[in-house]
Amino acid sequence: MIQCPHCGTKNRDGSKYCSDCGARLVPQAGLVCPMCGTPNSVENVFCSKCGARLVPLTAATLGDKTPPPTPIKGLSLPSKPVETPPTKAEPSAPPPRAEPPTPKIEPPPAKTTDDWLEQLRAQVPEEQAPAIPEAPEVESEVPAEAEESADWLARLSATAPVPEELSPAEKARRAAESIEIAEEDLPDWLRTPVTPSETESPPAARMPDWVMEVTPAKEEPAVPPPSAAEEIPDWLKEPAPTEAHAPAQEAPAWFKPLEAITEIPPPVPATEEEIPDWLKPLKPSEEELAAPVRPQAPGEGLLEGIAVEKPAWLTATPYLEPGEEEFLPDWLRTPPPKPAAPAAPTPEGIAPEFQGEVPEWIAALKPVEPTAIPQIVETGPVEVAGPLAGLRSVLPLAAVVAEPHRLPPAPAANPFAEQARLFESVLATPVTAPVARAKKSTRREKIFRALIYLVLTFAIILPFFLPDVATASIRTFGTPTADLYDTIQALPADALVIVSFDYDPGNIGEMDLQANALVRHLLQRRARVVALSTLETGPQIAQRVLDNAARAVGNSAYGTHYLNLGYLAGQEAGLRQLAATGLVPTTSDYRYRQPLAQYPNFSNAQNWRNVALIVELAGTPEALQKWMEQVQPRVNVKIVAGVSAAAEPRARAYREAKQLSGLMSGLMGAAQYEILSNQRGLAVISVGAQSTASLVIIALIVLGNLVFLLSRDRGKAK
Amino acid sequence: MTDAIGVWVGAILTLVVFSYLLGDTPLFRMAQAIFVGVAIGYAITAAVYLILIPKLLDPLILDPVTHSYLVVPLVLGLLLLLKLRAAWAPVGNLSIAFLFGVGSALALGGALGGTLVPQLAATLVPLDSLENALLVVGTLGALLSFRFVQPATTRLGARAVEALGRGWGALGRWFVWMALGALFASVAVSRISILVNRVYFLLHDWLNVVK
Repeated sequence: MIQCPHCGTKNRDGSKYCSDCGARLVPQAGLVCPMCGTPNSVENVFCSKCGARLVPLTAATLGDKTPPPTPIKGLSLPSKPVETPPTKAEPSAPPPRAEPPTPKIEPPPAKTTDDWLEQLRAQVPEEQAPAIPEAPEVESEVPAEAEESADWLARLSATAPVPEELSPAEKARRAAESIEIAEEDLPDWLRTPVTPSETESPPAARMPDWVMEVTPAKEEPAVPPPSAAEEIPDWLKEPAPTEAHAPAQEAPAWFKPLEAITEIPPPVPATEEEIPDWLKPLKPSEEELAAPVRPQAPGEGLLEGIAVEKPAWLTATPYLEPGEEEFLPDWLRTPPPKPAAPAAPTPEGIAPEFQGEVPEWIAALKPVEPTAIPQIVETGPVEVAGPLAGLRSVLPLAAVVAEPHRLPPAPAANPFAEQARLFESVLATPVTAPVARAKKSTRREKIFRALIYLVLTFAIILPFFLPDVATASIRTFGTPTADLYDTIQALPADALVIVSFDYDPGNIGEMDLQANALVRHLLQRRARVVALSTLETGPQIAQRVLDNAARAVGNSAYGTHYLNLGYLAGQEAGLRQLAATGLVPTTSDYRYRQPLAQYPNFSNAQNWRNVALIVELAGTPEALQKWMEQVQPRVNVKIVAGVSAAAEPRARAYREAKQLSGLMSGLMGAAQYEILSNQRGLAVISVGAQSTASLVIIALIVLGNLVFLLSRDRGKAK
Repeated sequence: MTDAIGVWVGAILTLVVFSYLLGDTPLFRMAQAIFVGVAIGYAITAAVYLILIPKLLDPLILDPVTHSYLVVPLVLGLLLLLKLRAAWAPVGNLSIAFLFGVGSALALGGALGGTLVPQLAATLVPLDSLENALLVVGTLGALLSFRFVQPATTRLGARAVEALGRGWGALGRWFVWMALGALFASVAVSRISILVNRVYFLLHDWLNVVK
């Protein structure tokens, strides 16, 4: 896991940017090129990709295992960091400083640094080995500097631990070597800060202003730790803390060449060979050189001064591999606009003779012109918290998303609006029922209508005076009525027959004729008739029919030969209960309000086994249907029906399905039954009138159509 | 005497109703109002004296322990009275729901076992007679006449079957028309029977001119 140095978020190994804040992650035990961002091994001094120097000033010698190269001109100029003695792998190995120290401190020879360092190492007393615990102080200074310097330097310091076994003298020596190394490798304009006489009296005449800007006020990295100063000989103590104030003539001999170096005038920028490529963008422009030198803080050191100047490679967008840029947040893709007085050189700030030499990859890092995003910079919100505090418009879309949205206004021209208004107006219009104005009859039409009524009345009345006219046209053989008659004829004596009077006074004209004929026949057959009805008006009709039949037959008494149980409530439910339980003994009769058990001849009527026949007299097809659906499938009792002529088609279906044992329909059925039962009466007479009336109606229909056709043809002929 | 009054009243009302042949007269409307009023009055009287008193109140008063179950219909009936007020009408819907639920269940079950299945089975008859043949042809033709879709196929066999079905459906449509004509004719005959009965009443009971 790689911990983000910026926000502390742990990221997966191999991640280049923090998943939380987007900061570039520094791989463990590696150096990131400040120019191109390529991770390099800690052993690299120069970037393996772009060739930029990875070890500017400090920590260059930490962790480097290569031996120091041969010094040049009295200075140790290792191109790579000095090899660090193994600390953890060889804990028991005696460090070189453990050798007996030399009590006499001699000034180191100026010609070779190794010699005087060896002597210095030899002067470290062995009993002063406990100075090792002071090493953490050295380490603690590095982070302190890192906080004030650039992040990459802080991380670099953190990833390059200082061996604890080093003695203060060794640390001082290595610090000096690092300065010397950096001094040699740095360009000329960066070498000057290390001169001890810089702060005392800067040679402004020999050094340009931009060099003065990066000149540190004090060379803290070169100062040995206080603890180590006690072990350093006097000649070495002397220049270290007072290096900046000591006069040049008081410097030791070995430091003379260094002084001489500082007096070398800075190289002329025009010489391209002396300027490495990675420093070309750092070269200040003419305006920057002319700008006044920013006053440095008292505690600012060399690195701090460099950090304040912020070369182009720090302010410009880092180099990214193709495709990596899209993973960067927006605020990293577009660098924030620089405030006034930018010190970092831009490609435009470089002299024309040097602009052509800027590599393309550096030119591609040219910052975006602030005018390209003016609205975002000016109008975006300012971040007040988090790592982006102080930046403006880093998340310009966040404010837009957070704003309450409103639906876009509906289009003004709705194609259905006009239709909707029309429909609404139609609905709002009060509905006026169309007045059916009957066509005013003419006198001729009135005469014809009156003639029709008279003819029909005469056709109905005439058969009553000629009762035998229609008798011959009544056929009884093979009809359903004959089946009904045969069924009743087949009933044994004292058979229990349930007769349901399910017709109202509107159907009395034809149903009473059927009921009279049928009940008379039943009483003649000495059947015990139990009457009921599913209509409220049925019991009264039933009582009248039963009484008339009993009077006609004679020798029939209520409660003995017939009984009226009245109204059976519940429609389908009542019939379903009747089919399930039979006649309830507690049921009261219609006439005397006595329970069924009070009539001995009908005490066994509660059991369907004792019921021989069910006669349904239905004025409507629905009444018959209830009986056929709720009772007939559930009782093993024959059912016959007498229905009105209007209900005959429905009753015919039950008859054809053998669900009805017999069927008597209409006035004709009543007449047939009268003839079969040899009790000619009103039904036979009425059938004559009905037949005559039907013939007259048919004749009138034919005559009317003929008149209509003739009149139409006459009209066409005219 | 009572019968004579009844005959006279009946005869007058019959003639008043016949007056409709001359137009919508006030007498005819009066006869309508009398008929409706008498029918409602009779229905209420029948409900009270044939149902409420003998089958609900009397058992509850005389032997409430034995007939305690009658409290349920009593409460349901009282809930129906709440429908007279709009604010309380939803409470009365409980009784309506009970009535409709039981009635619908009984009607559906009874129709299956008492009408549909037996009559469908009755059409499965051997074609040994003209009547049975007409029954089968008419039933299938009536069913085919209600087929309003035509399968999208071009196969010869399918087209032949389609033509047969189309022709059979047209024949079945004739059966349907004849059935509807028979229904109308039966209703007309039924009403003529009632007219004949009314004329006989006038001639026999009122005028005594016919025996």
